[in-house]
Amino acid sequence: MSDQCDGLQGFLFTHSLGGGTGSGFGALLLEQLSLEYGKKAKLEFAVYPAPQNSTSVVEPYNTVLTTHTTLEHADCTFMIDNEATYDICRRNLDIQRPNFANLNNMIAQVVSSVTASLRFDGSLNVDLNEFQTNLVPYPRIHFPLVGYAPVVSNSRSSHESNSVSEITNSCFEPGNQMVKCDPRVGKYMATCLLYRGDVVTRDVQNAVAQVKTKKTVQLVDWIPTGFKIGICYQPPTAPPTSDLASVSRAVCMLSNTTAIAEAWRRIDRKFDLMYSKRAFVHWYVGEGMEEGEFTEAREDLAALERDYEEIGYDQVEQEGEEEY
Amino acid sequence: MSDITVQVTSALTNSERRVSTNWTLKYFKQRLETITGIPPEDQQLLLFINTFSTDGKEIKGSQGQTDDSTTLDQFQFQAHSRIQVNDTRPESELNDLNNEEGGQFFELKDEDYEKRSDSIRRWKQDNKLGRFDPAFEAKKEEIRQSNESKAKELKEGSRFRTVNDKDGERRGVIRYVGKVPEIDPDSIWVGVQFDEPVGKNNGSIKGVSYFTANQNYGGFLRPVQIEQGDFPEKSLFSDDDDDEI
Repeated sequence: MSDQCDGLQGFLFTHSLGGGTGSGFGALLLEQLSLEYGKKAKLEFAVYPAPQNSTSVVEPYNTVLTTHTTLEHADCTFMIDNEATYDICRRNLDIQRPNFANLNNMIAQVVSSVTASLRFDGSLNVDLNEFQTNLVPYPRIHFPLVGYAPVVSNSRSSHESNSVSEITNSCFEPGNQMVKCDPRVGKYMATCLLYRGDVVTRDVQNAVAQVKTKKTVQLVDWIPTGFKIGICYQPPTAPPTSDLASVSRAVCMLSNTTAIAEAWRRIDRKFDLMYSKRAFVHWYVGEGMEEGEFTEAREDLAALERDYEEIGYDQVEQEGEEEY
Repeated sequence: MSDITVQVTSALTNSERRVSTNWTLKYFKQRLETITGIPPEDQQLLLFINTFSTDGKEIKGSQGQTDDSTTLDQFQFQAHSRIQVNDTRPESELNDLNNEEGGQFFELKDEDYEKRSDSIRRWKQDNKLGRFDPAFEAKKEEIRQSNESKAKELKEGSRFRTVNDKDGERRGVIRYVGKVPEIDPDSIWVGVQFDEPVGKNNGSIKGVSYFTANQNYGGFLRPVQIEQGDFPEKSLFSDDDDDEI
């Protein structure tokens, strides 16, 4: 099918890393696509294991192995963890026991925001290649954090005004972000803000200026950092089964921040606990893998953690930014 | 035709799964092994009909039936039923899988990181970024010097106000000027007592006391953040504009 496209821009993957839903086959597919369509953008939406809630016992293995394999093939991987998304559903949508259908609704809105620019008209368009250009300073560091606002239920939507500046601020709050980590302690390398609906450039400029003054938004100062803006006139649609209210405007934030390293650290430690006991390794060996692949993958992920630390170093302190 | 979404839980896992009622119990248990890590022969399955059920009904083949001849449609699965998988082994390896005690954590040695050709450090070195930028140390030194020369002017006991403060101007008394090894070994810090609870501590940092203030009235700032002078305590009734007159 891709051969029949006259203007193939790239590929979007949605899969999980934990196993059973695309961690193994997905990696294989991505590797293959990388061979056949080397230059085309390959973006992933990856469901990352949640801190407390494991969906399978071997989740840490699968995550480390698949991340190692795809690290050089994917251009940009947007991370989503179930627990953070469950929390958003509970807190903002008053769903007591969210299930995958609720989660998928949320994730679909994010995916829709990312592709809105390709499908509809707007004053500032962002195409698939630009995500990588703007968000990824160095190929390995390609795991932006996702935030979305407003997330409101029908019953609450009438009480909230959701101005451009309000939704911009709220997508920088940890509570509206789809991976459990604390961006207030990390440093931002780049941010994409994808607005849709009734949004004018001036309001966006003001909102971004406001965000930049926040103490909690610290930028890496030894590489150029920036805010890439997308504006698409088409407001988000709330499908009939959706829990989200229909709103006149929304924003999706994609931030490359060192805070996401927390998620890697967490899963790497879980990997170590299991691997030091060689638990379940025989399942993989039985399928033809070698133990060496485990250690190689683990070392690569340890290097990734270090890479994020390196990004955070070397800040020349700026006036007024430090206080104890 | 009949796929049902159920919640599968075990001591270590919790996930939503789709099951088909024409699966045999044997097949179902095989699938559960890859999820829960419990071998089929050691699984005890309890069915909780809905999210509110508190007593589980055991899922097993009736008398004379094997797991192979039992299909899931014999049990009353509903959408969002919960299936708890218990490990019947008394000494299960799963018990201390998540036990951090005695766990060996992988550590990447610095020399091994140094060797990698695709690391961020290598990228910084090759492109003279960050601390590998010749201008980096010079810039740091410049900031250090301006802080040091500023520190010489500051006297303990003097009034001050903050400059370029994102929280708005804050005022108080300088209580300490000097090094604070608890923050970093080299630079000069200014310990201040604010007029209002707009600080971060009480004059102590990591258990070492440099001066005493009420909680949140104390703080440590860079010398360049301080402007020393006759800045009296703001009265409750004045606002910022009055001070300008």
